[in-house]
Amino acid sequence: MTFQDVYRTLRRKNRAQYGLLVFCDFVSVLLITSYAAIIRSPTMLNVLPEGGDSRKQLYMIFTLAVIGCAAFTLYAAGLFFRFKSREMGTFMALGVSKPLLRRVLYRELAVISLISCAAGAVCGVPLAMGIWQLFRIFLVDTEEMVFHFGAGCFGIAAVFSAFIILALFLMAARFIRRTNIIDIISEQRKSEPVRDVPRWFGWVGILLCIIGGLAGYFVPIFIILQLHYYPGGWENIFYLPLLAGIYMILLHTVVNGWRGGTGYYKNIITHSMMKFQGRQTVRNMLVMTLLLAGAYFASFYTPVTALGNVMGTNALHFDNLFHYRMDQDAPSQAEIRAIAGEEAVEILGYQEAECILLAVDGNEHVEDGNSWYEEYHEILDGQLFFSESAFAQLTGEHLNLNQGELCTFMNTDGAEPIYGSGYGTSIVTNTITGERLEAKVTCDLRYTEFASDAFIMNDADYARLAAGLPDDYRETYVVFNTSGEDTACYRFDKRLFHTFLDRMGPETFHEASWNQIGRDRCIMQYGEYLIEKYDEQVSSERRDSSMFRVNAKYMPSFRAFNRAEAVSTMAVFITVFLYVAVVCYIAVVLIGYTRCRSIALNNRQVYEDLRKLGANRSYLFRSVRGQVSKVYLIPAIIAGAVMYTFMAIILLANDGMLTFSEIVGLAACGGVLALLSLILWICYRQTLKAVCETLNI
Amino acid sequence: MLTVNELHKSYQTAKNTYEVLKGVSFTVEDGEFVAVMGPSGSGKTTLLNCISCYIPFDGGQITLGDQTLAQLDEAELARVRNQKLGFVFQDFMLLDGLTVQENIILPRIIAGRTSSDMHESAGRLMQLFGIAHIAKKYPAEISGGEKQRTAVARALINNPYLILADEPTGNLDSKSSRAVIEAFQEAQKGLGATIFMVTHDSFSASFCDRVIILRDGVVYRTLTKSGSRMDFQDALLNVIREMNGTEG
Repeated sequence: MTFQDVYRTLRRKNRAQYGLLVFCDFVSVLLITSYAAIIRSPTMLNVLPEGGDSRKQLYMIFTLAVIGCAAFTLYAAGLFFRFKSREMGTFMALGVSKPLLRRVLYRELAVISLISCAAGAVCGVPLAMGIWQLFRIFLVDTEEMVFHFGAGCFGIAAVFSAFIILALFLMAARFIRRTNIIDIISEQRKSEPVRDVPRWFGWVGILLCIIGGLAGYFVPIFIILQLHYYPGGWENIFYLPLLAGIYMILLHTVVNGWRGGTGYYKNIITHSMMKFQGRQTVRNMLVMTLLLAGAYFASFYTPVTALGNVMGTNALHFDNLFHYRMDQDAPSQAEIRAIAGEEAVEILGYQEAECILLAVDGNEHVEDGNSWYEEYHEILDGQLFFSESAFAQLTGEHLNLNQGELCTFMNTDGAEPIYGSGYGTSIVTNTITGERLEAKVTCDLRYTEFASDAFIMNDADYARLAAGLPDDYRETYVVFNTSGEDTACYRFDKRLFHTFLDRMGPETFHEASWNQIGRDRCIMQYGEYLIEKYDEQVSSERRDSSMFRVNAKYMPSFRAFNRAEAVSTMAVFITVFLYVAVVCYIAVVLIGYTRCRSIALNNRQVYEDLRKLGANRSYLFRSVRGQVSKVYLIPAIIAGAVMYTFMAIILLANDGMLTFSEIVGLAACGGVLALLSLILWICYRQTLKAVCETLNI
Repeated sequence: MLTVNELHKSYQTAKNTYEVLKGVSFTVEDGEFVAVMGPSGSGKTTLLNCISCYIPFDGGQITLGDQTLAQLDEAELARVRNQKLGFVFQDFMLLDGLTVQENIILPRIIAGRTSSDMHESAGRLMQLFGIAHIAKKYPAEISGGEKQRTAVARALINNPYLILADEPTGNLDSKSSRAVIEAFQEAQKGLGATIFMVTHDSFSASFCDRVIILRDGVVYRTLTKSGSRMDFQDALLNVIREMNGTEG
């Protein structure tokens, strides 16, 4: 028998401890790889615009997941070394040299970490594809949803694995380097008390959460708007008080608890046990809080987006609206009625009206490195202009504008459109003839359909400015309603959608904000028109993609079609956020379960002693429940409260008001929060059951 | 055999420095069974840990045979621990994944001396200490006294110069304590072992040839047994009473 044989025997006997480390390494690499497989897949990269909010949000949550999984693995490694300390200390005491111990430990860790990380990376991709496929089967399936694998995820998995392996070896090196054998031997028994925490930590923590949340969101906005400076990545430091606040709340909860008086004595066992394992518990709870925050944020995306779409579709003034350049051969009224007839749909209130593309003045937002400034241009960009009578023909709404007066559009719910209200416009120019009008915006109408895109002007002004414009500067708007069965309306809409796009020339497939006037100015000033880089993504062939449906310039607005295809239009967005939420949630449950199991294992003797002191089953159960529930409950409450408030702030700060659809969206987020809490509660109950079984309670 | 000269050791906490050993000096002769007693905080266990080289010390000298421990490097220290010292801990420190027999032969395995007589030596020790019948059992399956006798057998398997025992009866009932002390006596008489034991138990200490009493990090008194064990225990108790009486 050799020392290696002894070591192997011990390893066999202590399979559970090794298993925990292997499991944690495997699971964290598995989760990170699968997450990376999703966000680095061509499926996602093609749909989520580079630099767009959705992609940023995904990467932000990914960062949280990486931090969480890394902390989780390091925690498991810490537990492993704590367990190994007695064995290693005994070996040292009996005269095993450190180089020999180092050699066997390193060899063992190398095998464990390489195999578990490799297995996690290999299984991560099938896991991602499997869950994605389940989403396709049970949620939505479109051409865009076909999962394309990108090998880039293995790069991320490799970096994460390298970090884990390096951290493991550094911990092992530090573990072996220690000279005090008594410390090593007694490490396993050592509690990890946290220092005394003043009672004000709780309230100050809450205050810091509020300050951090508000500062993190508003200070960068203030810096950008008022100081004309883009902070870049470091703007996130303003969220640090939030993180510190969460940590303080957790510390206060674990060390002091929120109940004073008799409550303290009632929970004295639970409280003291948690306090003396406080460091690891608080760290675990912090990681769980971050991951839950990521999971909640990802979960809120779907209801807010979906409800926004549904309510936006419901609020449309017309069942069908489309527009096209006059140099295009769009379907005529007769053709439209013919399709409707074939699909048993009746066309009601068919109207057509002309509008023209004119230049408006305004300030251009110019970025210069990290700073920015505004530059006024008399000819800034192109906008569509209706005459009063054309608009009245289209909508039945009569205005009485004087010459030089303009009417702009707000969203139907009263919110300002995303690209501004148009109130700043003061000069309108026909860029072909040079004819100009000094104008003033005196009113606004609530039509999301025209918001950010169009103005209405006095008929005489219109006649003067329209003169000399070629057909590609003129457009026709068509609006009508339909009557018929829902499925018939959908079939009609779909046929018309394809017929319309089939007839449009390739020169019309651009991103929504593209226009000839803006293009001419940018080409002249900068030599390029950046918006055109998206043209390929909104080409006719990609008409079924999310990018096209959301961003194509001449995308028709058909209510039945939008309604039926809303989910598939947003399929990739919804699925990826759902996936992220699932990954974060799995990580949370694993961490919670592992922590609670280790609390049980560490305190087995305490529960035996309590039994000897006469504690009945119900008392022991209450004590266990007090600890397990804290591990799950506190992160869930903090993450839920913070992310819900954060979501409300985002919606409120978007346009300075909460629209009806946003209020409904927030209510739906509340429902999602309740559902996720229920799932977490079930996991908590299962963990509680497992812990009680471990302690024979 | 063992010479401790002017040993100093202090512990540093966040704000304070506590000097635990303040110049302790004594010798232990070959084949002697010596105990160290003293109240809590007197420095007994720290002294033992310094002699074991488990913790570094600040000043003074410890000599084992002709070797000065402070001058040894890691590898030499490991060799000394394995071949010249045997350890018995209060909480046994047996490896749960190994049987009683495997635990006993562990120091031989570590030394790389896994010859055929290894099992015979272990068998002799197990016979001597009355634990042969549990050779194939695991630590979780045996009593505290049996665990400690296993630990004593493990400490003796390499025929060390010196056995260092830290409160070996601290976790045991009186019957098991007696069995462990008798095991030490067997080791001393039958195998010529030199034993240095830290204890707070005057009953266990009364079996020794000599007892060094520590107080506040210095040697307060050294008592040598001359009469019966009971007389020696009375003498020890008198010194402890005297020491307690002069406190404060």
